[in-house]
Amino acid sequence: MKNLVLNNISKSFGQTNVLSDISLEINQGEFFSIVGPSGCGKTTLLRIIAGLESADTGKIFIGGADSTDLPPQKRNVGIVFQNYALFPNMTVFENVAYGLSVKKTEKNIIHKKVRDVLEKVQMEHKHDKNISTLSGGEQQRVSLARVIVTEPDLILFDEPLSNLDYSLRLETRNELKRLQREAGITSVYVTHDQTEALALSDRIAVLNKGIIQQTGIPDDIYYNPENKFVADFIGHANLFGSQLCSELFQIEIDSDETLAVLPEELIPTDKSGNTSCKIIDVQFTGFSMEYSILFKDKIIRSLLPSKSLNNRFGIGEEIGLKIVSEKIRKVK
Amino acid sequence: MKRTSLANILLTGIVIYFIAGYILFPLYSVLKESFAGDGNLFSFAAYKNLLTGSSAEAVINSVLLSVLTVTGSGVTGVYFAYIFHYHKIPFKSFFSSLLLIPLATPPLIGVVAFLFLLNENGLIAKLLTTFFGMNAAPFRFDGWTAIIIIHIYSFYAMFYLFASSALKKTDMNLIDASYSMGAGRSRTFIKVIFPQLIPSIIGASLITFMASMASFSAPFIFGGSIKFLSTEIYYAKINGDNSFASSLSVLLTVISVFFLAMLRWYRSHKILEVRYKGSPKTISDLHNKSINYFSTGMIMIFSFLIILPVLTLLFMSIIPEGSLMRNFIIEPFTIANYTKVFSDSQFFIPFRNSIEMSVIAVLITLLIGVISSYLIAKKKIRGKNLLESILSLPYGIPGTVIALSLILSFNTPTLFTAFVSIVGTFWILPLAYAIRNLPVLTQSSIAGFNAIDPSLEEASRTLGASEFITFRKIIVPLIFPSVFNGTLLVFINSVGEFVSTVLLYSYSTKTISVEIYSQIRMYNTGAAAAYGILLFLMVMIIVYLSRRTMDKSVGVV
Repeated sequence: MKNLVLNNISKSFGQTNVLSDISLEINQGEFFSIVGPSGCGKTTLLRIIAGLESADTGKIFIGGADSTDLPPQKRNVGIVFQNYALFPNMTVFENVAYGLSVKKTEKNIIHKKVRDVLEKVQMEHKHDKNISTLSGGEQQRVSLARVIVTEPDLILFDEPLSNLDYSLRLETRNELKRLQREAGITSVYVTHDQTEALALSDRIAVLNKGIIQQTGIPDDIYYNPENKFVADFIGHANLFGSQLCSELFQIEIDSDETLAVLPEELIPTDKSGNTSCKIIDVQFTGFSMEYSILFKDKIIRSLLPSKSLNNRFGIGEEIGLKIVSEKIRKVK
Repeated sequence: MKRTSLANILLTGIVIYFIAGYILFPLYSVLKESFAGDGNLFSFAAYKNLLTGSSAEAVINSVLLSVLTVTGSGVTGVYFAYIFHYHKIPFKSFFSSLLLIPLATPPLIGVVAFLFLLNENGLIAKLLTTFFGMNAAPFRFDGWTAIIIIHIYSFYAMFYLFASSALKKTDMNLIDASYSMGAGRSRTFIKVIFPQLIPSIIGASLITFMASMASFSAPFIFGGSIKFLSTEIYYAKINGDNSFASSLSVLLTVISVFFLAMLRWYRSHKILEVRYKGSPKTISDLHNKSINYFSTGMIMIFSFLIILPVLTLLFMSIIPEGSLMRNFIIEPFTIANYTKVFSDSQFFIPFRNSIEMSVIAVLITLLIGVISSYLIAKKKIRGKNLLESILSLPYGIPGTVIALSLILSFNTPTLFTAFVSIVGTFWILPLAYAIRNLPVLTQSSIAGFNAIDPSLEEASRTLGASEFITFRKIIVPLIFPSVFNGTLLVFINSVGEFVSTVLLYSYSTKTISVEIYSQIRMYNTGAAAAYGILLFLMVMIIVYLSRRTMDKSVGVV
């Protein structure tokens, strides 16, 4: 069953087209990510779904009903904001109770529901605390609880983890996924962090310059990018034009095609033949070893598990390159 | 959607009506009057008069006074802000509140207190003649010296506040870096700290310059024969030469509004300070003890000087009337002045008038200020910059000119005064206070609205609240502290207002400030002092209350 349907959504601010002809179908209970670089229009799209912004053209259906012209308070869509947007004039409890109390829910029902959800996010011990006393991670959990308690048809996440530091981000990411799965609420998650999107999502849409580049499951997006942008943005793939391809790998492709090779599919070997690649940087991160390799004026990345490396190379060494991949990935 | 836009039109209408009727129309009246010749003909006579007469002297004096005031206040304020921030001072918060007393003291109270302290029959003169056997005080406290000292007393706190907040934002790593590269203390101040203070010093200078140009009480009481623009307007009006008073007003207004425009321009172009992540906010205390002792000494002396006028006022209010003329040491303290003031059946009239007028002024500014700041900050209506500029205009218009403009425009029945003449009535006074203080409330509530993160409203909307519920449950509680504070400030400014009151009051509508002034004219120093102390207490209680609400309203992001 389709929970959210977007039909041909377009939006422009003045002369700039922020979104062009966006169509998406998101299933009930699905965790769907919209990923793209900053300025690609993903936040605008999220705001249009929530009703905080209106689309110039196109239709929005939430839970089967045409919601295109509904004001935000009638859509039953919750947002988890990047800066949490908790009400500073209310306690944790009051923040979470807000959505229920404006819907005139009975006092004791509010009480029970808020208690339950605070327990779920492990914030029940701080129910009477002021917002300003909470840490970033705690604020994020309250902000999630505030949305979940209203049982929305759809939760929208606007880069909710970007204000947290690295280790907290990982922890919160896992918890968010757990809560979403438990509650079974359809979620649309906007981020510029492709790792986050790959880790969390059932499906992903890659957005650039207001146009959807590709939609699919994480595995597919990563291994089968449809164009150069997706290959670069999601997999940080090395992109080779037809000339480079034949010089480096003796592979012939059409001149309008590009070969996309993921960094982990490229292995440095001992120098052979007359192609001269040179290592210009080596970074050891523990698990992996990353080589930056210069060929002519192109910088090529190779990322390998450090344990599996038989012979290591140093900066300045001349090497050869080998592709280890089941398939040749050609993109437009 | 339709209904909200209708409400916006209505609200915009109210604001435009007020601006047109009570700011622009009165200013137009002054401009018109300044060109009025005999028999309502258009004439430049008043301006010719202005160029040829003694007015040029008044302009030069006013500008000179303002320059000296800015310099003196600037040096004093920045110095104390600096040592407060960098040196180890005991009882910091106590001294800090003492230093801010002049900011809340009504100008007339400060002037009267200095009069009691330093004039030829004042406290110091009496102490000297009594204990050192002098025939007369070895100094005269009037004219330029007196006015400048009072001005520095009243205005230095502006620099102190601005410089303090700038110092709080300075990056301490920069200072450490300067020391570590071998720069000494004074070099570090000149090359590193001072440049960071420049924006706030320029801001405070522009404000002080305007305030000093418009200052009335000190030149009025201590000016003697020295001519200043603000007092010249008053005398011209009292002499019935409306046209000349108007031309002087136009001149003074043009100068002040020019500075206001510079201030507004400067604020919108202010360079943002750079703050690096993880830089410490406070410096470790200086280890040089002698410098700390010296600074502490300076602060103690200066704090004493700051409260001395208030103590004098208190002292004058509890000694028997006229005892200073005899020998005050022998006579015991008394509450006679207070009982006299309280037993006087007329006593409550100035108090009731001042409080009633101030409350009305507060209500008017609250209505217009909150509506217009809502339209400016939240609704982003078209022409909001123009609206904001006009609303800040009264900040640059001297009180004397506002009074004159109201007299000239409302001495005949108009649409804006329910078709009656309000000159000489009760209503013209709160109206003048409201106009003068409109910028105070508008600015503080615009700041309040702007401080609200827009995503809070969006969160509320998506959680199911309508626009109205969101306004009531989220926006109102969040702007309340800043609006409430603005309201208290308007009340404080109104309740001791003297500048425009002195042109607008009549016998039945006299206020506390007018009463203090007339008691002094009648040499009832004790009663004047008692009135002064009561007014001072009232203001300080309100300041205390407003600090409490600010402290309580935690968590406003």
